[in-house]
Amino acid sequence: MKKEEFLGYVVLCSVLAFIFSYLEYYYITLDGIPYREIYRAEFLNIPPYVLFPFAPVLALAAFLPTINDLFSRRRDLNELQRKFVVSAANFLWAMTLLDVLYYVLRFAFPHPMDPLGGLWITPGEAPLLGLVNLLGILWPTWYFATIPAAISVYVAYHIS
Amino acid sequence: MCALLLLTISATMLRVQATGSDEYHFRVGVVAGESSRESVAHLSDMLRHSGYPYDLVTPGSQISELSTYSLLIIFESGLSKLGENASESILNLSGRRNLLWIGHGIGALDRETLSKVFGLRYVSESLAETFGVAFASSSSRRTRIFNELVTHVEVIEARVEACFLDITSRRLFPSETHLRLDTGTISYFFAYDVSNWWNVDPESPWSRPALLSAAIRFVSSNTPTVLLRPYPRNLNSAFICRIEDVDPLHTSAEWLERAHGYLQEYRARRVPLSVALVPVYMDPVSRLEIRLSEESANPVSEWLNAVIRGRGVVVQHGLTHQHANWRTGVGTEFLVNGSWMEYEDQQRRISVGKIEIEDVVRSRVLAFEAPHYKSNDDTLRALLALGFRCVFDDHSSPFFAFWFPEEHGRPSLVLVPETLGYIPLGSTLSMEDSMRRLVDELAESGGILLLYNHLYDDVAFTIGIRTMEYALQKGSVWTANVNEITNFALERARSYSGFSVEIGPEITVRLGPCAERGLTLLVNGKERIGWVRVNGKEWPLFAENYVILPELPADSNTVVIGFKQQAYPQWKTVLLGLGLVGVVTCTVLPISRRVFGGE
Repeated sequence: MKKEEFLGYVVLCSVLAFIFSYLEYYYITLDGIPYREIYRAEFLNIPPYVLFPFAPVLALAAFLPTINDLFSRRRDLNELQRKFVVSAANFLWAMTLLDVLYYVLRFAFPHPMDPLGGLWITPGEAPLLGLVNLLGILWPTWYFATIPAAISVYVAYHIS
Repeated sequence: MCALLLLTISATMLRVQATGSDEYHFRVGVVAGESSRESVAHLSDMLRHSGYPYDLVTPGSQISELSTYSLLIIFESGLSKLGENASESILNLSGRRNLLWIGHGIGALDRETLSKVFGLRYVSESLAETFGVAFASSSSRRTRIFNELVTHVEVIEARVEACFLDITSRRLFPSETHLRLDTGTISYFFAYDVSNWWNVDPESPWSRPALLSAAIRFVSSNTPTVLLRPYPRNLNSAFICRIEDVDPLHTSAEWLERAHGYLQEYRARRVPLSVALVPVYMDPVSRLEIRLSEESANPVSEWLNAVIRGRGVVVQHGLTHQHANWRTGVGTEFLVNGSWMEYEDQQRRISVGKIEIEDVVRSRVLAFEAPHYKSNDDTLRALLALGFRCVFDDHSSPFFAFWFPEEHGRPSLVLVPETLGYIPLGSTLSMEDSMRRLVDELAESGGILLLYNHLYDDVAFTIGIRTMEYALQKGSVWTANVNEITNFALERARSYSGFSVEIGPEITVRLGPCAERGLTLLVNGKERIGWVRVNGKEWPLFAENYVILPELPADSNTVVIGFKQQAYPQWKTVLLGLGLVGVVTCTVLPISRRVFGGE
């Protein structure tokens, strides 16, 4: 995979993550209150619209190079493996970005009807693995798994 | 594994629960007798709607029982319930609890009690016209006084909130006062029955609910209170516009053009319409009978379907809206020459109309409006049997009322009042101003904003749009359709039936079941809310002074509201986070390097 191509997919995933987080915060609402806040999801605290269609669309965008390779006639297994790893990293990156941008929008550009508008992640919103209190700011613990994983792949790809 | 272990330990350590003592119940007690039935009905509607937990005090209650109430609302008719010496009871209670006296009869208290508790001296009591009283007026609001009993008092220490005026607006004597006692409690006094004569003054029908609501808020302001808000998501009011008396003969190009335009304007602002539809047009004199399903009524059906696509609903308005030789729209249907139609006949007529509508609009009809609002218990029983959930009514109150059939034991039908009135034929645009005044009055008491419009002419069209826009400008107005409003009102009523509040360092609220999300608890007089637990689980959706609740599945649900910010552990969670970073990096980086051929 060429570096420009790699960057293109990272940008595509990031843009989609931004669009989805924007939609989620401002449009998936009930009288201005984001769905995520009023409906506590049963399954792993993941809202249903993230399970479908947000996550599948992000997965499709992230795994596009792998899917392209699968359908090409000249298939190089090593290259396929490399693309799969990059795709997985892109997917983790996009899912994390989707989540973090939601809170950024809420914090920086709050909806006037949102009771949590202007607030960063609050203790009551702890996701499955809980929160990490880093320098007085709360971060979902799962970020500490997905971000290093994605960055490790990008670093390995960069120095290869 | 290490990370998992750390996670488990951290999660356990995060659950810190504070306990407290010195708790008391927040509850309103209403002390009234049978002769104040109508006033108490209005007051009860208001307390239920505003979300105050309340009881009607029973005769023979001890002072110890009475002092468990944060606020006692007293009518003269209820004095006998305070024991043999009502003056002494009130004097005893006044230092500990807030009091609100409504209406005549305060002269029954002895001079010392009246002076110490209310800061007043009793002069006399008579019908308003004897004193030449025409209005009661404060700096912000004026209400008309009818030929009712008013009390003439003189102020000793109390602060005057409003005065009676004569027809020339000359001040006569105080109509509303309050006294803040040394103990911090408040005693409030109305010299007329503010909980009666609602919806009588055509110019200002809801001024009294607004005044009473403001007084209750004021007199409760010195203690922490928890209210169950009437609308979801902390909204303050609900707006409904009903297009009235539509029938299968509403096919003139002019009316249809206006109706389509009106619908478009409402849809553009995401406000659904309700349509009161008479499914069969009858004119026995000219032997005319047109059903909604007939081809000639297609233009009306098309418009109705457009209304439904815009989230609107069709409300059944009788079957023919007439009896005997009257034509549709002129006469009542269930009340004929002073006699009520039999239950079976009422049920049959409603059922025929419901089927006729549902066949055409392909949508369930759940709301009903009796022609000329003439319905009795048989009508309500028939509606319940046919699956209706909402009835439009004119019960002289700006709040929802509920019909509780004995066999159901819980609220089964919501009665939605008419509050903004209608736009008569030949109205001028100046009517818009009176509509705005009504919206302001209703917004103060959180009343329902129900406008109905026949769309007679272009003026009615314009006033209907502008009134809606004005209501929306006030903000926090719920614009759901009638079915959604009904569902919420019924569920809230179920939840309210189990509503109790215990206030201490933390607040514990108990609520009955509620299948709707968005019930809101408003907390006044406490510091900023720090955390909330619903049935033992952390719940994040709260702001400074209110909590928006999820569905409440259990028969009794507990909401605990805390005020001290819970410190989130720092070093343990940081350790966990950094551990996770280390583990993931040490695992993924070497694998990736191998994959990309870096090693």
